[in-house]
Amino acid sequence: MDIKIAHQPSYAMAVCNLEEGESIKAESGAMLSMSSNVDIATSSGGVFKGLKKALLGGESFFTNVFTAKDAPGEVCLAPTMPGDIVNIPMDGELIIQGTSFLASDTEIDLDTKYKGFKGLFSGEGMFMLKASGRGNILVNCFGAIHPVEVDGEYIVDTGHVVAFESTLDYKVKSVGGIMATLFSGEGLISRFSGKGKLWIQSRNPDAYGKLLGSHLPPRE
Amino acid sequence: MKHEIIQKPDFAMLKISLEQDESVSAESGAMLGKDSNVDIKTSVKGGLLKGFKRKLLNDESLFINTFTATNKPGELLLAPSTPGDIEHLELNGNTVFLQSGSYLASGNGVETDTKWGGAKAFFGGEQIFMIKCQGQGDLWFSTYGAVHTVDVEGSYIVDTGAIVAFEDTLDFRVKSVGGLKSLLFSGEGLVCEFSGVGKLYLQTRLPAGFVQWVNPFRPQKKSNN
Repeated sequence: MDIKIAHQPSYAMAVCNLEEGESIKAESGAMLSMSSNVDIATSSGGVFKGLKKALLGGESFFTNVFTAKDAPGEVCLAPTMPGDIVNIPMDGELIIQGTSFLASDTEIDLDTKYKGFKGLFSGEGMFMLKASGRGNILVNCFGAIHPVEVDGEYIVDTGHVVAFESTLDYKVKSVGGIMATLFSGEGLISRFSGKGKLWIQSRNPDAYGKLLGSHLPPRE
Repeated sequence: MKHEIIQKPDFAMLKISLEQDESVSAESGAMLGKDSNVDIKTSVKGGLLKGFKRKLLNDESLFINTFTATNKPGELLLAPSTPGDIEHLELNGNTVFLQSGSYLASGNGVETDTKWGGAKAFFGGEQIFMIKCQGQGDLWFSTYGAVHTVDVEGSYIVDTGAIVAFEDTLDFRVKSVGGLKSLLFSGEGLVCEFSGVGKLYLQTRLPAGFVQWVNPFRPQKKSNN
């Protein structure tokens, strides 16, 4: 499989060229275009569970598997939000912020029930995925992507976390004391420790959504 | 008429240098600057009836502005409302279908006409309205995000929301992807299958997708009791 990231950095799109019989797994809704010989199959952790999630407005996590049939084929994938895409070659475990997952090799296993962030992320409307295996994984970010090589300790606003290697240990906590928690505007932070790679996004989707939402008429 | 697309690719802007008495048409609301000798005339393009048809069917602005440089040459700056790029096509007797919201501007020799996407493009929640552009001269359109050009040879599948423009040498039909489960849960909705040989222009982000993303952030309406 040959993956090219086109139109970087603000409105990036992944052009995935599949050999005959090759497949790629992608977030539902990510397909912009594809060759007509590419087949699509939808999977989830159980249809009814998925349906419930979709109906309740939660993060539904359906993935589609695209397979090139009878000939090579291409699939173009893009996220909803403006921003970049990065191709991470992985061998081991990677923890990904749920909405940052774009696509991966089918050999990579995705654990959607991963509760690693100790429930604290639920307040931010976030869920995390644990990806394990060997292959390529495509993650998208809101704004620019900024990789950090952590060696020791590093602190990130949780809304900016995109992905990190599981060799890193982390704790989610509020920043500073009560004053800082309430008024600093920094919300929750993640304290990473150990040695490993961390990817952060230069804008916080939740903060942007809240800004826009406050200018919009209420929902029924 | 000379033109230059500046500030590409994320917030592109179209700079047109008009000769004296030369004119260009643009989507209403697209003008962001001009020399003072450039006159603006608002018209209902193609006559009132055609204009209303366009308004009703396309949800596109009823009015088109025509800019003319009077007494001497003049400059005009145009931009679309969304972030993204602008693409230029030179029509030479050929025909291009343009998704109505992507029209930015066109030269005098280009005729823009509403065309039904056809009944085949009409079912389902997503409606694709295309403007038929034909004639001689310049045509500019905008994309939400980047513009991605595909040379179709054979057949190719596109999410309907990503279609910006295509040459009329391509045939198309709207269909759903995969089986029933994919239709319900794939999130891919309806797709357009193009066939033949011709150029296809896509945008790398979907305005409707972004709106869906923003929607849950709207405040909840307070109940009366």
